Amino acid sequence: MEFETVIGLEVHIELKTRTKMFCSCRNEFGAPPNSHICPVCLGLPGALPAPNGAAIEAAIRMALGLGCEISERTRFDRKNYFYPDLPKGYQISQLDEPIGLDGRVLLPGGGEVRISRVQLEEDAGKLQHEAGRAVVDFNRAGVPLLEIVSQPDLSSPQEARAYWEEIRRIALYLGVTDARMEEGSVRADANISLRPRGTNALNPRVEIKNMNSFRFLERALTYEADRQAEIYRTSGRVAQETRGWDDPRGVTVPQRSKEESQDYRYFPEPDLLPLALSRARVDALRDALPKLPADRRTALAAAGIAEEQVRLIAESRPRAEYFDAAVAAGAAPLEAAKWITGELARLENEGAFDVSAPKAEPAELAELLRQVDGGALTQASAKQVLAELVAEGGTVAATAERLGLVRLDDRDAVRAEVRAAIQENEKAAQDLRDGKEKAMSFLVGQVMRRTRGRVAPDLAKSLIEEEIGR
Amino acid sequence: METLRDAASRLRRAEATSGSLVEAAFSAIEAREADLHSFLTLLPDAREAAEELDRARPEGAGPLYGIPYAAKDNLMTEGVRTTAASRILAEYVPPYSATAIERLTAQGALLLGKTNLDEFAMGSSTEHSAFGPSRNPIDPTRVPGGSSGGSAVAVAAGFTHYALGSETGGSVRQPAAFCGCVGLKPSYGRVSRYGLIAFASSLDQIGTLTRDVRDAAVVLAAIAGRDAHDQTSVQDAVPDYLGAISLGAKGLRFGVPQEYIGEGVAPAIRDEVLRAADLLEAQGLTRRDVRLPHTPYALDAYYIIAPAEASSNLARFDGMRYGPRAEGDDLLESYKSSRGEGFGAEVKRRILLGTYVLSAGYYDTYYLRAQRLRALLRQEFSAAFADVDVLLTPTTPTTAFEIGARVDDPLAMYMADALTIPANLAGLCAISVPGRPSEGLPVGLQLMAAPMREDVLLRAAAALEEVVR
Amino acid sequence: MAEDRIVPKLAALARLRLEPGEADRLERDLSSILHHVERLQSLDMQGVDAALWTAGGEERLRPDEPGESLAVEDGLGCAAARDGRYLIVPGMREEA
Repeated sequence: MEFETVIGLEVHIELKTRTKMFCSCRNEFGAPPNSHICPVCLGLPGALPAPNGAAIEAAIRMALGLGCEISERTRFDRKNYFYPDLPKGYQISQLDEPIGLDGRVLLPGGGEVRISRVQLEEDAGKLQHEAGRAVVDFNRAGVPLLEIVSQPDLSSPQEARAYWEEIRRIALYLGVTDARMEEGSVRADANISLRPRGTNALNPRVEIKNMNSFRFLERALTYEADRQAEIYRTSGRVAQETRGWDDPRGVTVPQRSKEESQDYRYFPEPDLLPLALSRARVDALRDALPKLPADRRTALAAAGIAEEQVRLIAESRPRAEYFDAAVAAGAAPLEAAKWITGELARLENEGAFDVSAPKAEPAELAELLRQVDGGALTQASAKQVLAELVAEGGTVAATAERLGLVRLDDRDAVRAEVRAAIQENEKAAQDLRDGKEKAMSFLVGQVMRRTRGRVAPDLAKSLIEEEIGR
Repeated sequence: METLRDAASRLRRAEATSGSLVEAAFSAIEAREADLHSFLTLLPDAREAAEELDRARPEGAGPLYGIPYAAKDNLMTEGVRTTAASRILAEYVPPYSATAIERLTAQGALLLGKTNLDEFAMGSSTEHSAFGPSRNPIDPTRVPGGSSGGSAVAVAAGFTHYALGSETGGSVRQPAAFCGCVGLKPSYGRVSRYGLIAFASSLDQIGTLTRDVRDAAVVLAAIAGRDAHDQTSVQDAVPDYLGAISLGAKGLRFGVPQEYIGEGVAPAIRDEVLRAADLLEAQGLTRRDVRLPHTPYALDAYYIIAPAEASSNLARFDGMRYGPRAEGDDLLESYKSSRGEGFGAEVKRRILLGTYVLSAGYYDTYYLRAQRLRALLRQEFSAAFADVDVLLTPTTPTTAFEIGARVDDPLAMYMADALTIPANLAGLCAISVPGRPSEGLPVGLQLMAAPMREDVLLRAAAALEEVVR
Repeated sequence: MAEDRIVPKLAALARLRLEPGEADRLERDLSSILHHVERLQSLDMQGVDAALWTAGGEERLRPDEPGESLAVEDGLGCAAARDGRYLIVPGMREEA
């Protein structure tokens, strides 16, 4: 029997605020253990939560970015359970009236995923197991956490990964998170079940909890889909359970089932007032949203830019905005895309270029492309100018002048360089005369070296031919 | 007994010092505390603190400056043991103070000690204290009421001029009625709850125990007002309550709802309420008929909502970050033992009840219905307060009962709060004023007013206090 | 009947160890209290909004400005076990 995979994801994003969700302790990763603690986030007797306006605003913006309806009234609820990283014995979360409902996300490779809800809650502290005991750090306790719950619309581990990446991308576009995967500020739980292809059968779901890397997610879901398929093939039953991903072994393993079934005993958080959000307020936040990845991709593709380049440009908001600014300054879109995803991307990878604080201004990229197009700079020179702009800023004109990279068009001057190159490389010249074509590119290279790339290769080639008398 | 205002004027005229007030308090405590057990902790350095206040007394010091007071031991006091009368907090020393305590401290008030209560404020007699019951100063064979029993005793026995208590279902007014002092429960949100150990968050409110109504006005003014630490604290400016009282009560409209003087209310108490009503009318207040038909259900809703919230609020007492930790084999065993050994019977009863009404499948049947009833009560009160300014009722169905009489019968104990609970459910302000005693035992007359109308409440209460005397 | 008892399940959820006699007593108490509040079931409250508070505006939200935190000695000074700056809690048998 053929199976299809049904996956839903719950993505958790820590919001980047200055302070925690319900107290004025700093929301900061990496401080010494238990240095950002107070009566509220430690759950000391008598302490009360005071909600952070900036976190609520960030949550609304993210929900809007996911196309959600924003409730006019939003409310917090208590989710009750005991765990040492949960100081109050309950988590302040949202049940019936979350910030956002009914959104959707368009995936880069096509396809739409429905979002059922976006809710704001507080993170727990960090607990590490040791032999016979556990150690707890409450710095993270109370950090604002957004939970984004998808419908089970994802049909493969790859699609699940693409969806998660897109959520993270949108959050980064909105600036609501640092999204540092290695710090655990973005995590996901996945639900996965299989059903015979083409049916709507509801089979038991397995939940895989607390994954903090895209690769883990994809591997865990791939493993789990195979495992469930194997069980069905051998006419067994899949248990509805929670499993964890054991990456070193490459398997999912059942997680300890709590000795009682969970009953979170949700009820409205009596310490907090429901929040009324005016239409005008929400509209203003919606109007102020930046252009989001999906819109970027559509616009770039419409401009005729190649798919891979579209993907790279839309990957980050600063890069997309850099592209826009270069085009606005007169750069041809296709050329701008080529350079941004080529030479500039290479410089970014080397750490030489920071697209979010670019020294090489987009208008200068436009100028550079203009000069290449008009023949004032060779491709090779343009790369050198760009490397210099990236490091030092300034204008194309001044940089090309300073580096002596204005193209050498004077035939006599170029001929002098060609002669010198032939003189220094007699053997290569002889090889060329003997018909060994490989020697030509060597000699052109030598001319380029002598002129630091300021000569158009075609000119160098024709003058070499003249000089050796072919 | 001397009022807070009289003590303040003695201090102002330099006829007394903070030091002499502390000495007087300690000798009164010396004489009777062994019988009454109102305090769980007395501040060892109160004398030094008094001397310091005397030295630093500023020109135009406020009415609380240098005067000792007592606070219920469920209010956080930085550096001073705060137990909630529970074994689970027996040695707990908080690193911060409740907002109400901070405000008093800022005005030069002097904390003398922390008073006894029913464990976590759950009870109506102070018998549910892990550290032994308090006793009624009028008749030490009887309970002082609760849960703010220790605070009521401290004020009624002459230990301190005033004390802070807390209310969830009558825990200030009921002991005030049993001990013969004035107990004020402000409107929900009038006083910050920050630093008050939560029992039922949507009902809790810090209140005052004083020797007369004007003293209640003075203390309320000192602790009321918006606090950024408590989102449910309201932003309304704090009115001049003493100024309001000076307007007199003539022309105010009042009602005596039948539902509060029916079955279960001792005849002598009902008679005292009716006598008070006649006296108020004679003073120029207008009497109107009011009906509050959902009143009998208030107790039921309360015994769903309060335990539900309590079961969640008390989850933090788990032996991990504070409190004694029973070292079980593992985490789960440690939780169960720490909490099993740390909480007393009444607290466990309410935690289990609350856990039940919130659990899957029962939430709608119990919690949601109770909240709906609560909404109906609010509507009903709101309609009543369109016709009258205040409601006059008994504070309690009976006078103080004997120690041990109800401790094993939770339902009988809960009945002691039947008449005070509606005000908590509806967020009203309410006050208990001593009426004419019955068979030597104090009787409390209750007034209730609309939320945030403490000004009207106190005007009527001052008049009531005057006429029944 | 033992399976009708509600207290053991509730005590497990609430993490309360009860002595056998204690559990019996609580079973009786809960039963009588729940019986008492049954009266509420007879009321017709269809359509009554159970919302506790009316929704407020954003003026009661906290500005995102850092304040003072507690020193470890103050925040966790009453903890049963600490190791340096960490709180120590018992291990979990199933995960050990």
